[in-house]
Amino acid sequence: MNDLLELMKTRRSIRRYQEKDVPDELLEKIMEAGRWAPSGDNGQPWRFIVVRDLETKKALSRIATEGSGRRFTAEYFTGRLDERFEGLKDEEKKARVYQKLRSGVVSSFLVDAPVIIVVCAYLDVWDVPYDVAMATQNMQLMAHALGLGTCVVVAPVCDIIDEVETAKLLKVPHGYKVALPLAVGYPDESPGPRPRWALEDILFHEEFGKRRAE
Amino acid sequence: MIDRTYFEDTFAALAKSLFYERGRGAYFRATMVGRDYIDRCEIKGNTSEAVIENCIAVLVENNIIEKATYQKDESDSFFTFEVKGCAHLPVEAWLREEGVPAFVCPPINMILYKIRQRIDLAVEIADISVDQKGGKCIVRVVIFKQ
Repeated sequence: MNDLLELMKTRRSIRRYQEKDVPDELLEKIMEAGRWAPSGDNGQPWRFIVVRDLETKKALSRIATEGSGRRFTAEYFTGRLDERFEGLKDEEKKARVYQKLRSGVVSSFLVDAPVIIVVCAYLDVWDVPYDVAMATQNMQLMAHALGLGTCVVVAPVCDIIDEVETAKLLKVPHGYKVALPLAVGYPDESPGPRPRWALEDILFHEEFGKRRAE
Repeated sequence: MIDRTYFEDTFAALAKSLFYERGRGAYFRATMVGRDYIDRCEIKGNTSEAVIENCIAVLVENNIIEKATYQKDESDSFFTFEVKGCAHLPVEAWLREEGVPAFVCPPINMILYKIRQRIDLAVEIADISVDQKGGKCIVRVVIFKQ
């Protein structure tokens, strides 16, 4: 059990990948892990599209880049980016970060991922978002256990306008949705852990907001 | 004549459901609301300003809004719209009582959709503020340059 917790704690979202192919047998293990996720009413709505084609990856990357750029630029104009980066005092660095976010290139790395597993979902089930999220988490952990890095990239599907374009690109039929593109590859970076809330800050007993009696 | 509050209540209930499903991300799931309506109207214009003016004229003519004006900042990309007397204001009042912030503005969605469709510019609603007492909304928008 401790090994599983360690696996969860050491998983990272990887955005830089080695130029090394991912063998089919490893991808199959990853999707097998997704296939064994729980789902409401055992609906198993997940469907997987393995994308290796460069032109398709370029197209996904373009949609992602534009979507991220739009959203971050809106946040820039409203001052929300300033709120996010309140702690960043180095103005030059802040300007570079803002430029990167506003250009949308933070999501461009999709094109460089050796493989993108696009998790789609059949819609005639009860719990689509929860089911696909559980499957995707299984897949990320399995990939990590196999020495692979992954990153969920919502940018091409976050806005429904972009999701429609992505679905068209991948020929996803009516009755299904594109849920989460998952970039997969051998990591070419080792990012540190992102901050987490302490358990005591997010844990209540018996009702929301109620701490354990002293 | 069908009771108008029926549609307002229905729209509001659906918006609340969406918000409780997706939280703040609900905004991104509602950006296409209004498209079908404006597609049935003839909108002309080959510049952002022309499309905006034409859309506003159609929305006023069809009693969806009473009036809309806008200003640009020095970047030439950041627009602030003031929309008065919108048909959706009662919906927003209901949602506010239910603790749901404004996250969908069909009139501005329509305008931005037509800008994207006619001029191929990227567009994004930045935020929406509702002033029930004043009977208006302030909607801030980014219209990207080519």
